Amino acid sequence: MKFCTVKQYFDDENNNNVTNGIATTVIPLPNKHLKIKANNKEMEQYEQELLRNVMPQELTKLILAANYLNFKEALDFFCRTVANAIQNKSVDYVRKFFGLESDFEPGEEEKLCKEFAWSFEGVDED
Amino acid sequence: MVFERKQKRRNLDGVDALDRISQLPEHIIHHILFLMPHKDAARTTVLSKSWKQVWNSLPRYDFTFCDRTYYDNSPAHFEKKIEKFVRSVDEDLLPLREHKTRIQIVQQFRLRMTLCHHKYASRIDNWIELADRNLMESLYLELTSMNKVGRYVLPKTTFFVESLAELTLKGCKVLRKYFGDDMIKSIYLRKLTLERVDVHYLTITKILHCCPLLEEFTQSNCCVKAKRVHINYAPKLKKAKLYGVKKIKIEAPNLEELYCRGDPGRLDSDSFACNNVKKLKISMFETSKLFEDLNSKFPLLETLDLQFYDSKLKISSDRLKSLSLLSPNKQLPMLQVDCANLHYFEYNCSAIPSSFSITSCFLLKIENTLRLDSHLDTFRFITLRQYLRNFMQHQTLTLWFIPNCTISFTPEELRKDLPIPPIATVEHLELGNVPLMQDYTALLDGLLWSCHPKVLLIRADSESKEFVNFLSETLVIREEEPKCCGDSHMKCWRHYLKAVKSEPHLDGMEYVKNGYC
Repeated sequence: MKFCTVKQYFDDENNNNVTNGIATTVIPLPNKHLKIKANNKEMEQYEQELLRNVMPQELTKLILAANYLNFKEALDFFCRTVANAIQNKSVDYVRKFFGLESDFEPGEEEKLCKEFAWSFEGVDED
Repeated sequence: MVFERKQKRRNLDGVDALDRISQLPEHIIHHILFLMPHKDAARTTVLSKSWKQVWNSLPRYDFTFCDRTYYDNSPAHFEKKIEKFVRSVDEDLLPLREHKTRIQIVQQFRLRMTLCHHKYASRIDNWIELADRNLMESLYLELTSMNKVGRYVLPKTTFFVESLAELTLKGCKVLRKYFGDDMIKSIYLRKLTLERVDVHYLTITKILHCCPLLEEFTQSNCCVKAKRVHINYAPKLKKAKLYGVKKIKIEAPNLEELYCRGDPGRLDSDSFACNNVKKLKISMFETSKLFEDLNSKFPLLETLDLQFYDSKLKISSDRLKSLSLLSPNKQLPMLQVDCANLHYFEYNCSAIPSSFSITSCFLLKIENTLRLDSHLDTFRFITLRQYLRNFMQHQTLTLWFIPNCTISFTPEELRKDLPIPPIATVEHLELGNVPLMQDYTALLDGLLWSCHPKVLLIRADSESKEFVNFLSETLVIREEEPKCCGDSHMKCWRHYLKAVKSEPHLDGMEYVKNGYC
């Protein structure tokens, strides 16, 4: 059930959504998942490992792969990893994490910060 | 929906300067946001334009529930209708309950109903808690309690909902114990309104103390325990409205607009520590000497709207641009206005000031509205003329008559030794409630002796027609060279009036006078 999309992938050579590198990470995942399903701690460790070894861009690719492959548990896991990585972090940190640059007009960002002032209270510095 | 971005050719080591995350489908980003605390999720709006767009694409709701059932003497019937209303609200709130895996935003939750039984209070709690969980931004509650049913008490947690920026409570109750002295949690409100709320004034002080972002605060006609206002911490407060209070003590360094209406009450100089106030409106307070030195109390004040009761009033300010005075007092007040920069002056009173002085170089517009006595005599007209003479610039005058008033004007009395000031021009003279009289001669003579109006406007009502007819006869048809006043230096208006043109107007007849020599 989880692998019908994978089969389709191998048949479809010009697929842009999943590169080889990703396939090697995602496909072993279900095995890992089955093995350590009930063991949250190991999942946490794996998550830490993932964050250390894998750049945020890679994480994005992983998410896209999991989405394409229709692999719900993996998708949820990767999303959670991203969420945990960026929560309670300053805006600058998150921008760096995603490789983003602010494309707002000069006054626009300030206005937004004011409107969302409540969300800035009590945030960790980097 | 996938963001449209040109995809560069990927290389395996992942060195790619593009913003990857924006390539994720929106529903996935929504899911990531859902997995974070609301605060952190909301902060992503500031990351970039595309992230702002993601946030703006989250599902949003606006709920307005208003029950218009009125009590028709049948409790059972009434309760049935309320029950029906409550069920319809439950139904409308289903979408909020159903979707539990995504962030939803309740932009507005407005509820207006009558509490006819205490069981409904917990239903309301339930609805509000549901909205709390879904990033509620604005809450409006207007709850009237019937008979012996207690007032609705807003759940404590609602105050602390981080996304809640605006809260309006009418007819509810706020428990003092929720805001004990040891409580230090932050409330993120930007706008708070309490109207007819049962709350202790110290609780209000405490709530405001926890609101670092509060910009607008309104307290209106709350219970007896809240007749005092004590605000000692309000760093961002810009606008405050305090209605139905007896005593005020407010410390708000950034306050710009302040509206106070007493119950009545008393204000003295330590009532205010708000140096940046630009606009001030005060009514129904005993103000003693508060306005004698506005430069030190309110150095930036530009607009003052004052309803006063004192018989003596002195106002002094270097920056004041606009001054509006209202007095329901029938006593003749003594006014001294010492405002060099005044551009606009408005005076609305039942009495012409017995003594009036105004020093100002820039007055552009003056509006006087006077409610006249039941008896207008020559002396009154003299006072009117003297008062109007204070204003050299463009001024308008509205005179309201009392029914059955008597008017007399005898030029002979003018020949006494009283020094009569030169006559003032009034751009626009409006007469309201002109009484029905046998002979309007005294009225016209007196008015046109007190001032020379360029435009005379009569408000149309059942009794004004007679007067209008009189005017058309007397004003329009008159002699070129009137011979009435002989050698007297005090000539009547006939000698000065040059041209009269009458035009019908929306409110009544308008007479346009073009010139006086």
